[in-house]
Amino acid sequence: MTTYIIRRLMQAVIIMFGLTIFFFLILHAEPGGPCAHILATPNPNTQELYAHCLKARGLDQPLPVQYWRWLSATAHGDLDVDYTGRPVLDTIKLRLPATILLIGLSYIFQELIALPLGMLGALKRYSLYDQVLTFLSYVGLSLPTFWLGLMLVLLLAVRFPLFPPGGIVNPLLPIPPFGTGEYWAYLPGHVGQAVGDLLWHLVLPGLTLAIIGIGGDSRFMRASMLDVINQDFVRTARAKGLPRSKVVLKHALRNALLPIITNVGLFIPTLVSGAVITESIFGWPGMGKYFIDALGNHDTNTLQAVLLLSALMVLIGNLLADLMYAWADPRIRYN
Amino acid sequence: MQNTTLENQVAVTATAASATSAAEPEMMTKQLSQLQLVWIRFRRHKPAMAGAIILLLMILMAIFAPLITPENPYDIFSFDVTNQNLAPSFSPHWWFMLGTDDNGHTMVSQIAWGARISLTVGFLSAFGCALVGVLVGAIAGYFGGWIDTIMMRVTDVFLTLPFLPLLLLAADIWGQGHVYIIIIIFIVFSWPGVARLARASYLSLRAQEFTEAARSVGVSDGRIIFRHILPNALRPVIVATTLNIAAFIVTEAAIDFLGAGIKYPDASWGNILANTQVSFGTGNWWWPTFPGVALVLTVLAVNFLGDGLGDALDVRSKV
Repeated sequence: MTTYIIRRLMQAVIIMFGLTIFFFLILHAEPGGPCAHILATPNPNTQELYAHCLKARGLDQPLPVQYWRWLSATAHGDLDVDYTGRPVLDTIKLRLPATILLIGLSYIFQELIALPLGMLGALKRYSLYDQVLTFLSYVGLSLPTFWLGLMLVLLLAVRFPLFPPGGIVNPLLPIPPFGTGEYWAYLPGHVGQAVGDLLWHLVLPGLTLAIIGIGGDSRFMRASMLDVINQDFVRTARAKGLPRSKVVLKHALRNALLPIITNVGLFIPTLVSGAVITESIFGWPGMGKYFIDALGNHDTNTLQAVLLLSALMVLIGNLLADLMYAWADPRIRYN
Repeated sequence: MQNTTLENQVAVTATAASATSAAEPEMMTKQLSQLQLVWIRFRRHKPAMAGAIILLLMILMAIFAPLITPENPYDIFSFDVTNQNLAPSFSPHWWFMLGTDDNGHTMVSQIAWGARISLTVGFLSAFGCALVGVLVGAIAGYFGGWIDTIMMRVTDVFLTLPFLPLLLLAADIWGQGHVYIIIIIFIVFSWPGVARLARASYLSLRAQEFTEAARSVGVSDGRIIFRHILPNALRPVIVATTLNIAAFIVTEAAIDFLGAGIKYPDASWGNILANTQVSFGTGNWWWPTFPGVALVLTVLAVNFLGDGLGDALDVRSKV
């Protein structure tokens, strides 16, 4: 097993290396960059200023040199500054908690609903309940996130103003911006207010993600459960006289959950790079919105950092998914 | 899997006795081709049939958009301020039944014209993806060895890429407003998934006896790949491609919504929805709702279609 992990890690390093080259090249093709704003404001010295800016940032060097300098800087944790001059690493540290909160909580909620629904659908196969569930899952799967978000806002924030149409904190309350040091200092003294406000803002974006996820995962769970209850060992357990509830909950469910566990591993990367659209619609200050804003501003340093982080998380997530599967299922052994 | 490339089933019909011979009626067998069998199985799947019909209607609507809509909303001179923000109604004309947006364009024409780009991108990307994916997967799966290893490593790298962020980036750099470039970007980022499926099929099918038989008779590799194995390997690819159509329609709408793809005056369903947050203030609920409904309906139809196709193509089903 250890050799397997080591081998996977080495593969991951190689892939990561290839990806850094890919990202570097693709971002080099992106119009803009840290000196573009100089060209945008014409001025008798524009060309000189532009050349000076390039030189100061080392952007006039040949590509491989630039790539190497960027790579070593990133490896040391120095993620350069964005177009406003603020260090990218600081902004990431600010934005990451918001995204993790949104995606993490909506995923937990989604699984808590999808798994029982899928399980019941498998147990009552072809019944009315199952057919309705299957149809609704299909609808849920087919909903585009941005449209669902818009509809939820229209219904629950505009037509019936129950929830806020966006943002993460109520600007009228004296709560500091989420994720900053002041916020964490403010929190212990005003837990009810801060957490309540946060949850109230979390409902609509969380629901958007959860509804679509429930559609997908309930079908997945149903299929997995069906595979398990058609197996011989379940029939044996029933034949031996075990009550149905015990067979289902103690024996069948555990085995049906195995593919779901791998899904959790594959879900981890989305904690960083997911919810791009949802965050845009709801103005949720997370990594997704950060990426979109950087795209609009042609802020290549930020884009590079976010892409690298996402790719890293995907590699880690894949490895974790395989490891968890091996841990959970004693039949799997990696040599 | 049987070791014949065509699995024929037999429908038995009795015919009347022939004129010349003895009293027994002759049993005539009617051979149904593979395609006919698939069609029969498909027809039984009600949601899939419904999906197929809806999809057909959408395609027809997109093709005949210039004929059936009152104006072309993407002609920048068709601004009509007098008709701003009209609620849905059947008066004064039938085409106001879905209301108008704040530029005076009717939702009916926006949906019909938007369908053109959305459906084009969805279908062409999915088919292009299938083409490239099957090619790569077939070669990797059939020849194995180092070709396979290299192709699978490339596939793995592609699968590690965060899809949406990169898509947005690529669309921003190269795809501004050009439908065909967006299609190419979709194909470039999605072919590895299909390649994996094709490779898996080829790996299992090349070990079957019919392949060995063909090779022993002297059939060339190329012919084996495309004429012998391919028809059998296609089932998962076809299902995946149909699901891809739905996924690409939605993803393309999402990219347009975020402003990174098709730009005004071209339109796709995502584009139409892009500026609808204005409507929250004006009470214009029909503006974001109806294009979205069209989108969801189309995607649902394609998903059901894919489901039905998957069942219909399943050779293991006992009719």
